[in-house]
Amino acid sequence: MGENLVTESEVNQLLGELRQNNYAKEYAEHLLRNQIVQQYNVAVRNMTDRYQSNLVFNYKHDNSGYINENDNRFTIFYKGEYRMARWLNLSFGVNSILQNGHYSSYDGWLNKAKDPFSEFAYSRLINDDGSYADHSRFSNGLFEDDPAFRPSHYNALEEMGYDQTRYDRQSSRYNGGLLFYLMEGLTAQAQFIYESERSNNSRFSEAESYLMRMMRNAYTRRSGDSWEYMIPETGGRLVTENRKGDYWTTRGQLNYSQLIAEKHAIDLLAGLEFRETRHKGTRSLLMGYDDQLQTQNTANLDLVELRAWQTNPYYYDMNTISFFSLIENGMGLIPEEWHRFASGYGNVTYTYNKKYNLFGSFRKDYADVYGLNSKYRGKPLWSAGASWVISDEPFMEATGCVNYLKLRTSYGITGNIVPNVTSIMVATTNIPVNTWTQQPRAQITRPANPFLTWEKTATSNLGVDFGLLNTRLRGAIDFYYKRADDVYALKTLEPTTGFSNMWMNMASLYNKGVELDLTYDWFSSGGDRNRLTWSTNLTMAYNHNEITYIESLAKTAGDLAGDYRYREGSPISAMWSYRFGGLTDEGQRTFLDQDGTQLTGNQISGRDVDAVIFSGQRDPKITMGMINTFRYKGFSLSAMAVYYGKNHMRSLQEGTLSSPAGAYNPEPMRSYLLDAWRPDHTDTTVPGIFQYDRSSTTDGAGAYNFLDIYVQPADFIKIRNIVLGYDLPAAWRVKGGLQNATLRFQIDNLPPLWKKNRIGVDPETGGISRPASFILGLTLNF
Amino acid sequence: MRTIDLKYYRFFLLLPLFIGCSDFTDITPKGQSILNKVEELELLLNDEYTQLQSWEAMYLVNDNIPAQNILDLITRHENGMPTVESVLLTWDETVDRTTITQDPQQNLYGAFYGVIGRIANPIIANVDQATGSKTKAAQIKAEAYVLRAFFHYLAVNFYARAYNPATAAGDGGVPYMLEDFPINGLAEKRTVQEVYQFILEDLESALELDALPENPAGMRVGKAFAYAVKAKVLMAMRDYAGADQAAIASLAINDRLLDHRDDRLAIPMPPFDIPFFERPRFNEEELFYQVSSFTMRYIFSPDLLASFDPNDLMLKYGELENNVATYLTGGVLLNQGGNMTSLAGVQAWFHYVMAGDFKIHYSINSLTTADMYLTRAECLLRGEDANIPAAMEILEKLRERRIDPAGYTPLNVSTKTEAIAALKQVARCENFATSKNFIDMKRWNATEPEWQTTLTKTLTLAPQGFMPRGGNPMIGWDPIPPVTTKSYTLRPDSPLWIFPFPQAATNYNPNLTQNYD
Repeated sequence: MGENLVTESEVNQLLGELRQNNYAKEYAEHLLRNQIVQQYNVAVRNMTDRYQSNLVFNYKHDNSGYINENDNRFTIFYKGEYRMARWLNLSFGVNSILQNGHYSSYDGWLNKAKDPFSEFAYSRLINDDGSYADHSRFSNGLFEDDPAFRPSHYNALEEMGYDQTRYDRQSSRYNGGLLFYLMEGLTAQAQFIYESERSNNSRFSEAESYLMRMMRNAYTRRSGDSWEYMIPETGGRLVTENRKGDYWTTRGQLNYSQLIAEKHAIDLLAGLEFRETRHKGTRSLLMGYDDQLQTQNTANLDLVELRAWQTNPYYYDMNTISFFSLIENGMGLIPEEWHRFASGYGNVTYTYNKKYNLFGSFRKDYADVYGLNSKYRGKPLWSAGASWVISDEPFMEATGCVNYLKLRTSYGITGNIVPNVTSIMVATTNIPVNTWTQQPRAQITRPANPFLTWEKTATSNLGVDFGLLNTRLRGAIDFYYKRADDVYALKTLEPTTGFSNMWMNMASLYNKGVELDLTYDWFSSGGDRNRLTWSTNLTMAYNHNEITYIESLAKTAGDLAGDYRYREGSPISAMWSYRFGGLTDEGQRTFLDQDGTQLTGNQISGRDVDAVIFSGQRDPKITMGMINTFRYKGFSLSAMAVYYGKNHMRSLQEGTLSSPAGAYNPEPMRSYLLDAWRPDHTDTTVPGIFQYDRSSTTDGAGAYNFLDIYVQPADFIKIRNIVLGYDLPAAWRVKGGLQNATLRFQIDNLPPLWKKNRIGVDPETGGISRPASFILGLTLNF
Repeated sequence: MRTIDLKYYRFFLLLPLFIGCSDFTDITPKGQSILNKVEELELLLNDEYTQLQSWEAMYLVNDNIPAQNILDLITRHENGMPTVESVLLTWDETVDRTTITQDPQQNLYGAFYGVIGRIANPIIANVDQATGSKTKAAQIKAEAYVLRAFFHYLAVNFYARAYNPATAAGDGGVPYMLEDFPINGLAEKRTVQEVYQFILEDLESALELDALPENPAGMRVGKAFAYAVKAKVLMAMRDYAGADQAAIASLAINDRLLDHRDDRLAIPMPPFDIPFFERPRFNEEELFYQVSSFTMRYIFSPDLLASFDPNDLMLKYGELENNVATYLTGGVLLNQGGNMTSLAGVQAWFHYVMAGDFKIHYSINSLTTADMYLTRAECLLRGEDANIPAAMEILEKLRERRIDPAGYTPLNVSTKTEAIAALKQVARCENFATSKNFIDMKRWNATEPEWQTTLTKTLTLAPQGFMPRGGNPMIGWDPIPPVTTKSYTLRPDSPLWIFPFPQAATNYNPNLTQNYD
């Protein structure tokens, strides 16, 4: 306009047209659909004197909410029990899951088809004439029209058809058990469980996919007077990942229970358990793959040459194609994970006259802890407790409204070692070879800590179980106090040691709280299908925790600012924030230290820890759940509501922008940027953008993310799900030999009913709520 | 009651099974090593050394200019918002460098001590107990000693005063990390004298083992490098006779020099059809390759490029482009964000990549055979009886391999001052794009007036940007008037020659007081 190339009215007309567009909305119309899950269950049960069997089939179909995607899962469950002899019982079971499906590939860079916000908000998905709108980001200026190069148009909808990932998973679990009746009150049990998992994932980017076209262009070069392709000229890319997991568990247990003189009940139990897990896999790459013709041309790739090809003078966007992510990453190993666990345990319980109970238990869990002194291999745990059924006392009979009342108490101690901590130096060898010398290498990522001790937790518990008013009102209330000492934390090491941090016994803390579980039957049917029943279940938990000691961890404000940073006298999930100091006369954000001095983000992070303030805790202090269930004439309706509260979150931090999002990385602009500081608009918290942006020198390493003005209460109430069911009447079922049949309709992920924050954010996602999903189910029992 | 007795026994019988639990879980997982085998310890030495970029040294000696919006950098610096880069660009001694927390040096300090703590010390601590070949064990132990010595040599040169025989025993140095350092302890700062003493001891330990190969594998330490480190260390300590002997020992193993007259690529790189110059990663000159300096985008200062002989083959055929504006508007960098385009405000040269891999590789923190020739040349100039012709003979040996024969003429040097200037000029062009120019200049600047240099620089800034010459960006770019200039000076005893210990270290270790005032 400054050069009179277009008139103002032409500009306004163009802007008007662009305003009509809403990419995300158009995306939703064409690429999204309501998520619907269908579930069918068929169960067949059989029982004779000596033999029982139970067979369940389950099929689940999920349309996943996107076009061109689905997930299918078929489950078979079988359990049989056979009484072989008076002294021997045999059981056997299989649980097998077959799952397959496909989805649109997404890598967030060359393929962003699954992100509705990956284009400018004012752009189109489909042009008025029905053709795909072109969103090419990496066009090739010099050779755009040369037929040697593939075209560079990109469209999310088109891409979904060309770049799909298919998966196929099978997992089976077999278990067998023997139960010996050795003598009066004494049984011995042996059990063996084997699980196997196999999965196959393959991403096929067809020749026509954007990824493949860009890749071909990047690896096209001049050879004399003609063009030469360093990867196959035709075909796509297929990356297949195979994973294999094998797990087994074996358990032996002795049980003894005896009632002596009608009043002394003794239960003894002792057992051993061994478990092994192994998981590994491979990835393979096919280039030039054509699914229809079943051809590929991988063996002719010159990998050394491809790796060295880091720039291409004929194709400017070479830096978008990386050998590492597109070729090297497609071939390789999913390193084997092999673990073994073993446990030995014993329990003793003594009950007098069914009223007074004492118990003690001891357990030691072993794990393969590598690089750790063997004295840390077995993790001890013991606990002892007592309980008293008060309601069985004669003096309680007078109070008619109390049906059941039990008082419980227990005390236990556990020792713990954090996973992957080492007391002997350990190097990792399953890392890629040295790029330049091709030699295998090893790396030490964390130092060994020879000064390690157990992290010890002592838990005390006091609880009451009760049933009142003919047990219409029933429930339990528990108080606990958990004290942990020598708690592990990652200690920052100064770089002279060569390392950045290390696990150490650093802190002491406690957790205390109350847990309540209450059920009340408003109406009870007494088993009559046609009468209304209504019951309400309420659960509530309150937790308070505090760090009572910590070996100094944070030295500067920058160390402490953030979440889950330990400081004495604060909760574990404490949030530490900088105080906002307003904007400068030039629209730059400032931060206040404890003396009220305005500082830049770079400066504040170097101040001492008192420059940050406590702004609540991240974990909820109170959680509540309420389930209401209604039944009437075979219909059932249940709704579960939850409340999480007394905690905070950080959200909608206002970042700045140095320049408008370029065509390389299109994305919608955040709405708060409209409120950004300008010389004529200074009453705002959003710093200057574009020509006024100075964030690289004033904001430090994202210090603004931890500003107090972005802390919001995270309390909310949500309905987690609503389930509507119908049991077919008995009369309809008899003919087919059906025991019962149930139809079910469920809605999950409803948006919050109430939230405390005033910025419209769903505290569970930090943004908009997840879309609701619908589940349809049919269960048949024979 | 006998049955109950029997039951008790059964529970006692379970006890040995608890011990079984311990044995059952005693397995060696795959992909990990507790470093008890020589061949597994050796894997540590195949590191990629990716953290060892030390461009702050190149900014300080004005070999390079930060790849940022220079106009903006200077404006903000003058408005009280300094950064590490702006301080190094403007040589501003007034800024408290410890408060600039956005400190890339934290990476470099950590990288130096990372090699010591994660590679050298674990090997030295474990190799004697490890099973495997004794010959291999001796070799990797010697390599580890050399690494420990060399990276401490780099650290003491970056973070402490240059070695001065008169004050070294009292000058604050850096911590010397030994293999028995307790991980929960506080590293102690040694004096410069102590650090150099430890370095020499480690080098002696390495050489005594007599196990270093003469032709080491790629990215591994060999005997020639060990002697080269010793030569540079003794040079720093002003033991010129010792340094010369070590340089001779190193050259006795490898005295090969690249001949740039032969190093142009045989096949011209399209589409420009010019034979380009190539210096591969692994070459006969580089004694211990770690990381190429050219994996980053470097902007070379006009000052550095002016110090090259006009007929220098690298200058003529290296991938250097003479105007940043051309490069930027050529389209390559525009996608890196709008800020980069305003780099056009400074006239500078930069390394440019044509096709395929980068063609010119210099290992940033290493030593070459050329360094050993330069060491010998300097030793010849040292002392009262400076042997100028012999020193110049060595310098010409280097020069004639670097300069186009069509334009090569030997330097005409008659005085010691001229000889020193010639040595400095040849050394600067041999060691550009490495940290060695910084280390050498710092050493020369320490105390001796005839070796000292006051650095000056003038930046030509075009706040309005550049215009394509004759409307065609392929021809070149001209600054749009008015063009302004900024001049800066760095004195030989400036505190900027000593880099600050990073906050990440000083916050956790009160022993690490800064070594400058």
